[in-house]
Amino acid sequence: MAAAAAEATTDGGGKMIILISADGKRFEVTEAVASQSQLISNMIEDDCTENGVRLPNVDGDILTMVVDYCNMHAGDAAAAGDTMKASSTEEELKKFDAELVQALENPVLFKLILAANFLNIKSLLDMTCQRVADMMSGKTPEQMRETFSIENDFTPEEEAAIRQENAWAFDD
Amino acid sequence: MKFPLLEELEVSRCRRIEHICMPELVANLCPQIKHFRHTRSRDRYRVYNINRPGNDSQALAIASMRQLRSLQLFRDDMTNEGMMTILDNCPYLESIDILSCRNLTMDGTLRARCAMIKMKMRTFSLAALLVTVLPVLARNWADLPLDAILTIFHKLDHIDILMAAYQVCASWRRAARDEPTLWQRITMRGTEALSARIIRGGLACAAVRRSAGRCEAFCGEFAGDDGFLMYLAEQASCLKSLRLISCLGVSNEGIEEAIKQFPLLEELELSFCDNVTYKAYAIIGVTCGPQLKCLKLSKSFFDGWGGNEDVWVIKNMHELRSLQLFANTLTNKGLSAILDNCPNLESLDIRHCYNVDMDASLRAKCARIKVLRPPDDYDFHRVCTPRRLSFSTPIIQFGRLSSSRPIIKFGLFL
Repeated sequence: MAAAAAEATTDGGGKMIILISADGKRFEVTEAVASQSQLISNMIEDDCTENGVRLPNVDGDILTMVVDYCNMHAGDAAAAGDTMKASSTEEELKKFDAELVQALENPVLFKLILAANFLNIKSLLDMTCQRVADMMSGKTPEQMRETFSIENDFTPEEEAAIRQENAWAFDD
Repeated sequence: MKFPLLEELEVSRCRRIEHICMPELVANLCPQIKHFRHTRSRDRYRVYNINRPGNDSQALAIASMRQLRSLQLFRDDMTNEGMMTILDNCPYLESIDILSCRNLTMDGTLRARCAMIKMKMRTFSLAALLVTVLPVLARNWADLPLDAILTIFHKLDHIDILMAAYQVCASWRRAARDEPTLWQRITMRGTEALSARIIRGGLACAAVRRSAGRCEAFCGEFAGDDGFLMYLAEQASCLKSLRLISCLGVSNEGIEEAIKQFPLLEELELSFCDNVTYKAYAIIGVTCGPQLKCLKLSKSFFDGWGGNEDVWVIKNMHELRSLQLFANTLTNKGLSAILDNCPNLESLDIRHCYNVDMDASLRAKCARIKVLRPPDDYDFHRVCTPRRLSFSTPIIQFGRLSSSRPIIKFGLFL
């Protein structure tokens, strides 16, 4: 019984897949971990992961975070059967997520969003985007530009149109 | 193949079928075909190869299935041109599901074309993705991919989008303007201080306008008046959820007029809208009572008078799953009537309903309620369902509530 269970878990992990970052760092992960990325999951389905998956627009340090995240969250589905285990890991996961996302500097957060979007990892994209939304909430356009170092790229015509649309916002 | 009336066909992973001529056969022999699912077996499309040549012959065949409603293609060689031909020739097409079609690229034209007909794209070609994403690697927040911008915007209050994000830069503006799905479920949680500007600026109307008729849910706090309700009634006939909180510009007449236009309403909240009274509830009961699943009528404070005036409408809402009556004047008799007549009720919040005395018979009736907040539950902070934003949640001022509490205790609680 125990042996069967152990075998099942190793089976659940399945094949290993190599992810290769832009700067050539290699990460070996199980199929279960990697397929949290919808992109890689599709590649697995299409049998095109044998020679490693090159991710030419994800840096090594960002991919490290992504792999950490996926490793942490791969337990999600596996632990679902065992309620005791699931609840304890759920708390750990929340803590892990909160710490991960709170510690991010703007440029890293930005790259992580790009990676999550590219790899199509919905939960990671949601989490990082939530952090951005929290940073934006309650700010004026000018404050938002400052926070994210965005240039005001409106043409004078567009600027005038916005002013007209939002006449109510400018008088006080 | 002798099924000229066939409307639905799936041919998936059948190795003995020559898949290339499949769509053509179907198009010729089954003119009525409405749902077509086609997956090539894997060994016929084995090699992961970015350079696999495009081939639109199948797309052309599919394009002649004029009655097509839904289409699922897996591992097809068609190109954007083929896709456009299908979109041009199948006027009834409602859903498209495409997976591993390597020669398709979701470019602007295709995206725009897909937005116009109701269309679902599950995944598109990985190769195309790699090719299209790489050259336009974003360097700053203004050129985040549209999907990421939208994911962020979906987590923002719509007031923040209209008052700020919309005016930051051109790409953000486009994202906020051209994506009706962003406005399908509108949440505008203003404050008392902002209320005048929100209403003067017609912000709620602006949000509904951007939904292009697809608004399904509106939740406004200090963000709507009778005029807005009229506009919503015109623009959002498929509204399923209407939540108005502290909208003091909304009156009985406004509600009575608008509510008739929302036959699909399943959730209704009129909390702290002090100018809406039980007189408006009668019409609510008639027009959307039978299918209403969630009702919230919370008052700012318990005034003791009125008795069961609200109950007679509520007890006829037999489908009710969730009911919140904060500081309502209903009595034991009223609550019993609701419990007896709403068999599906699962969640009941009657905090500060001090005319209710939870005696043994009521407690027995409430045994089936999964989430119960009894009258003596003094937790103020969750009167309103939590905001969509988990942070920065300025809860409605409960100063008035707390100050009125001692009076309640002495006057009516005993």
